[in-house]
This record gives sequence, C-alpha cells and structure tokens, in this order.
Amino acid sequence: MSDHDLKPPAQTATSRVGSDSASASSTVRGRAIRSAARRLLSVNEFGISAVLVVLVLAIGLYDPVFLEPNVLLTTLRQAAFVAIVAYGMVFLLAMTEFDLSVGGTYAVCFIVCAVMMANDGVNPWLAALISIVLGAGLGALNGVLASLLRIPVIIVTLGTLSAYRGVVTVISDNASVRGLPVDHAFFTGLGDQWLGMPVAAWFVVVLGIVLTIVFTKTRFGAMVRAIGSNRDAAAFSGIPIGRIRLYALMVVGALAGLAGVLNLAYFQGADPTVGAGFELQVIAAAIIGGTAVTGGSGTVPGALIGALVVSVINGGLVFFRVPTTWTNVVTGAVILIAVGMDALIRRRRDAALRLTA
Amino acid sequence: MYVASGITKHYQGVHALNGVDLTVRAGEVHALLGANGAGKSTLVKILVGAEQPTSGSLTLDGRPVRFADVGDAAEKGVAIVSQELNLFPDLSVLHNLFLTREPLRSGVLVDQAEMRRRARPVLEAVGLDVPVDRLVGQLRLSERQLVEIARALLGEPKLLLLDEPTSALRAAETARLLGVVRTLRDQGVGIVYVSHMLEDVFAVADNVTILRDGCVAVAGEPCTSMTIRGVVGHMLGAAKPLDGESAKRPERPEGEQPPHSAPLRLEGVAVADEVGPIDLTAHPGEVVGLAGLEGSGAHTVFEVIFGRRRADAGTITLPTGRPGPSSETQAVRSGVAFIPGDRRRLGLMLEKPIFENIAIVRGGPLRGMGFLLNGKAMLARAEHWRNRLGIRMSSPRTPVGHLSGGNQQKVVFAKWLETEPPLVLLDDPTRGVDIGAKAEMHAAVADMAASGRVVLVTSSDLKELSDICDRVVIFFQGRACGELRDQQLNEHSLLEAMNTGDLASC
Repeated sequence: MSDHDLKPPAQTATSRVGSDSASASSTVRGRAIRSAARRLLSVNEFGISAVLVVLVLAIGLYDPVFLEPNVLLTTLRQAAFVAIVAYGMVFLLAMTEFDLSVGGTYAVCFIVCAVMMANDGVNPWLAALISIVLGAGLGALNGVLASLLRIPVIIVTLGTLSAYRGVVTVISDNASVRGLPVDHAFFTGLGDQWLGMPVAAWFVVVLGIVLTIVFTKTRFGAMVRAIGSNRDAAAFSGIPIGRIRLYALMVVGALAGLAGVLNLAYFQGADPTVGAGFELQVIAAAIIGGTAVTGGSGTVPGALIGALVVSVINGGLVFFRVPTTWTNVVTGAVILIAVGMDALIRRRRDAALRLTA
Repeated sequence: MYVASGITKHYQGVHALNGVDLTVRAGEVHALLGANGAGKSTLVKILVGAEQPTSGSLTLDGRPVRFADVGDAAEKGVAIVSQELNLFPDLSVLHNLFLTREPLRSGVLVDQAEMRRRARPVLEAVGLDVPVDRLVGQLRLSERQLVEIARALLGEPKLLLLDEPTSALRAAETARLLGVVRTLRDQGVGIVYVSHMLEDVFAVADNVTILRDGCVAVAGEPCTSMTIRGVVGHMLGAAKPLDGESAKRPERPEGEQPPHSAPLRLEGVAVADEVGPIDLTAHPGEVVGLAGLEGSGAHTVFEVIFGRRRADAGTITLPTGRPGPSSETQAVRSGVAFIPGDRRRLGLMLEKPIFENIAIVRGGPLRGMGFLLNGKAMLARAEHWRNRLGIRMSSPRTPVGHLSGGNQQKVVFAKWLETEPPLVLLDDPTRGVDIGAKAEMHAAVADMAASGRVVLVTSSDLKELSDICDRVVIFFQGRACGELRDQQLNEHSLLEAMNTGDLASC
C-alpha cells in the first residue's frame, strides 16, 4: 500500500530535477521516511511493543539494577514459559475458544517428567518426550470431551483444570520430587544458556517463527481463522470444526508439556504447586499481545510480547517494593493500563493512517 | 411530512450521495428504489439517524431535526424496520417489543400486565397471532418480521421505514405484510418502502423515488404513471440491457470440460415424519427447482444432500458416485456445493478479504492448494472470478463486508465455483440482491449447468424459479407430488401447485 503511494511523487520529482532538484529530492526523502514510519506504525504489534519498551525503561530508570543482564535474563526466562503456551492459545482464541486447563497440563507434564526420571530411572530425554506427548494427549482429551458432550471447550477445561491439578497432587503425594539426576545433560543443557540466551528463549524464537507460519500461511491456520470469523459459514464451507479444534487443543497441550519440561530442566526441582495461575498468565499474554477474544484473527509474535509484558510487570514489582500482599492487585492494574494504552495507540494510529492514506 | 433536502454524503472521498431530495407525506407509501451502490442504504441510514449527512438537512413536520442515533430518531417519530432483524431470539415476543422501554411498576418491577395490554393493539395491527410469551427464536421468519414492525409501531411513529420487508417472505406472507402496510398508511403513517421486489412495490406504493449513482433519477413520481420496465430502465440507466439476457443458456466456455457426467439420484429418501419417501433424478446440465411451502420438505431434501441431516431411509447417489454424506465436510469432499441466500450468516467471513473468502473451501477442507497457502495464487484466483462473474471491488484484499449485497453474493458463487463442484445446491441464491446483479447470477447458474454440473435450486422468488429452472419439482406435505416444466412452468402455476399439491389443473 505504501509502495503505491510512494511512486507518483517520485516520478514528479524526477521530472522536476532540472529546475529544483535539491528540494525535490529532499521531498522524496521526507516521503520515504514518512512511508517507512507508516509501515512501522501499521504493524499490529506496534502499540504493545511501545508499551513494553516504556515499561522496561521506566523500571530501569527507577532502579538500574533491573537492566542488568542477569535480571533481564530471568525476566526473559519467565516470559519464555508463558510465551510458548500463549502461542498455542492464540490458535484457540482465534477460533473463539479458551483452554483453561493449560496450567493443569503444564503441572502434570512437569511432575510426570520429574517422577519418571527420579523414581523410575527413565532416561531424561525419553521422559521429556513422553511428557510432551502426554501434554498433547491431555489436550486431545479436552477436545474429545467437548465433542462428545457437545459443550464448549471453556466449560470442559474448567473441569479438566481441576482434575489435572488433582492428578499432580496424587502423583507427587503433595511433596517435592527428590532425587532428580541433575548432572544429566538434560538439566545441564536445557536449563542453561546458549549463545547468551536461556535455551528456553531459543525454543520461544524457533516456535514463534514456525507457529507464525502455521497460523498465517497454512491450510490449518486458514481454517482456524475461518472458524473464529464465522462459525456457521465455516460449517457450511465443509470445514471439519470438531477436528480442527481437536488439533488446536493438542497443539496447546503439547506446548504446555514442553513448557513444563523446560521449567523442570531449569529449576531442577519439582514442587507440586508449580504453575499456579499459569493459565491466566497465558491467556493474558495472548490477549495483551493483540489476539481478540472475538475470534477470526490473532498474532503469534504478539503473544510473545504479551508474555514479556506480563513477565516485566511481575519482575518489576519487586523493584518498586510493592508489599507482597498487594502484588496481584498491582499486576492486574498494570495489565489493564497496558492493554488500555495499546488500544489507545491503535485507535490513534488507525485514525492517522486513514488521514494520510 | 418528512423532508430530506440536498443530502450529500462522502465516505473517504467517495460521493455516496449527491444532493438528494426526498419528501414523504403523512399517509403515503413512498417507494425508494435503486440498484446496488446507488446510495439507497446510505440514504436510509441518514433518514433514520444511523449516519450523519456531510451536508443537507432533514425536517419533520416543518421543524428541522437532527438525530443523534437510531434510538433518538425513533423517539422523535422516525422508526425503521431493517432487513437484518434486530431481535433477541432468547427473549419472548413481549420482551422484544418493550426492550429498553418496559413500563415499570413502583419504578423497578417490569409491569407484565401493562405490557400485555399495550402489545395487544399493535400485534393486532400487524396481524400477528402467536402467544406473546413465546421466544422469538421459535418464530418463523415472517412472524419475526411482524414482531419488528409491531415494535416500531409501539413508538407511534410518524414515519416508518421498511427496508426489504418481504425479501425473506413467501407469497402468502408477503400479501399479508403488504396489507399491514396499507392499513398503516390509512392510519396516517408516512411510509418509506425500500425493496428490490418491484411487484410488491407496485402493489403497495403510491409514489416512487429512484436513485442512481448517488443522485435522484426519478423524484416522487406516482406509481400509476410507471411500469416495471420503466423503473428498471431508470434504476440501471441507459447502458445496461433490461432483461431477457438471463434466460439464455450460454455456450460452454472453451477449455472447460464438464467435471462429471453422472446424475444425482435420490431413491426412496425419507426423513422421519417430515419427508418422503422421495425419488428424484437430476442430470448433468439440468437446473432443477424444488418448490414448496415451508415444511413441505423441499428444504429438508437440501439438508440431507448436504449432510446436515441423515435420511432415515433410501439411498442417495451423488454425481461423483459417492453415497449421501454424513457431514458437511463429507458433502463438500464428495463434490457438493451449497450457495446459501443468507450470505452474511452462512456464506461469508465478512471482515476477511475477498480472496480469502474465495479460497477457503478449496484451500481448506478440499486440500486443493497444498499445506502452505500461496497468497499470490489466491489473489490471482480472486482476479479470475472478478472478471468471470463481474465482481465489482476495488481490490481482492478488501474485506468482503465492504461490498454491496449483490457483489457479496458473487463472492459466495466464486468460492464454490472455485471447487469445480459436480453438484450445486442453490438455496434462495439471490435473496435481497438488486435486479442487475440478479441477472448476472442467473447467467452464472445457466453457465454452471452448461459446464456439465447438476444444479438444484430453491427460491422464495417464484419468478426466479420459473426463469432459471428447466423443471421444478413440487413438494407438498412432505411428498414430491409432480413437476412443472416448459409452458406449464410459470409463477402462477407454481404458486397454485405449492399451495394445493394438485398439478392437474396446471
């Protein structure tokens, strides 16, 4: 769109080169800069990215310790676990579904993986793989229940969230799992850093690229968006809604399993209370990132930025010495402010783009 | 008297309306006509306060008025009954009538008795005879339409806008609604009647204003001085041919082979106590109509062929040789296309670009475009259909909801033709579409048949059925009781056969 707008003035400029070349070329450059600025502005994730930068700088100005590499790395790692699952949640939100059970799935995979390694002596890599498959299986169970009982996924997962959490308590006997083989390459490798970033963050980058392509460019992604856009029309177009939903839930489950495994690799300990409130962070990240709950569209990179915002807010509160009793209240308020600012920036930007278009 | 003068409306540099005048007197039915894109809907929105004009003024009974929104306009005496029914299916008739203006007892409790008392006369006025506690979702389309009108009447409007009130109605219901319109007129209500159904317009309107390209082409002429042919001429302008083109069957386009050449066969198909047993055979190249009143089973047959319902008995053989499908997905994969009249609900993803809408069936359930979808190829296909079907759009990237009704429906045609379906089901395909686009779609239907597809049609427009079908199977009380073809096939014979189930007299 901006390319088209650029061409006509460029032509007029060259035709005037003889008489007034200096001002003409500066006009061209001005237009080019404005056009580049507009292209940046028109990126959907622009608003929330700006909010993220402002948040980081504000906390950093208040207390520069926040900007020290190891603090930023911790923030990044926290965001990574949320982002990985939020990627999958984007698919569900885009088809107007919610999976509330991801926190439960995350915890089950985490604890099962730990128990297999510690108590049953299973090879850690194999245990990790089994856990991820288990995650996909729990997602599939959600999908099958929703189809069989003909009830919305949000209701099914309200039940399975509780059930999966209960499974964690049963398996772990409500105590931390002991005797993990922490010298194994699984822990020293996955839990560590690679090229200056936590390994979990590399997973975030690679999965972000892959899932962006899946969401925007593949047949599966197109059908997901079609279902969220107009469910009746999707049914009349022959789109197998139940099956697509099942696949999306399996993707989310597998991602939750992966996040659990990565979390285990980093913390090298298995506390059964892991991931309390995780599902809400995941959903918040996807929505803050710009995926509308009304369905039809979504953004995988936005979910990453949303996860970073959530993580920065949680980390930043420590620096502002917010009493721990108030943490949740402040987190909630900051999330609302962040989303509100994003909405404001979007509206302003859309108005500006309309004017210059 | 409601007067709009010099109404001009610009949308981002586009002149939707250019100095339009309209005068509606009390006790007059004033028809407002125009082809798609003529500015009709824009004018309607301005008249009822849904949009503000760029310039121009509105006066009601001599006083200048300005409406903040539709609710404000209704309070000041200008009400609209719109094409998209704005009712709440989960609420009762009574609550729909009084929503947001319920009479209260002691200031808090909804006064049911008072609501019933006040509802009675308006329901009588529109001739609606259903229990007021029934949920609107359980009513028939025509009954919902009457609820909408009754709701508008509760505000005792001076001016009532009816936007396509009969487009979803069947003949008998239409007659009833037109009767209601006349009664209201005789009570002194000024009525603006917007419709594509020219025969209804002539049956009920006193005067007619025709818009073309955002300007007034005919300003409030008496209906008696005009003919349908003349009106069509004014609507379309001089450039377009009037009619007669549509009925002609074009030659098969070069390079396109008929995808399949087997017929569709239904043998002894029955659904519970609704339909059957029914035998039906439709051959490639044939356009077969299914006609019947609501509940006669014509529509159920469509649902069975498209896999939305299972037949309890009998066998279906699709043109691809596959059996009757058990789901829509299976139907689509067995080569069945379904073009619905309710395009906004069943046909399109309105906020998605045109090219995505066109590609979704072939690229989605049919897996016809690979795992990775190629945006360029999809855009090229959209351009292909733009030329083939004459879809008027600025770009294939435009959200399909921005197009006019007729062009939206062409996108639905394109999305299904893209799949090369051996069997096409058309369910009231041109509902609410203007006459120009209608002719183009009829040509597209003829083209489908010419390229060797089996085509089945139902329609609320009997003229359409008789124009485009080679033969029409009549459904009466769950049975196929015969068929009309050639000279026997016309609107009158159809209407009579549908109502009596008796074809002997035709």
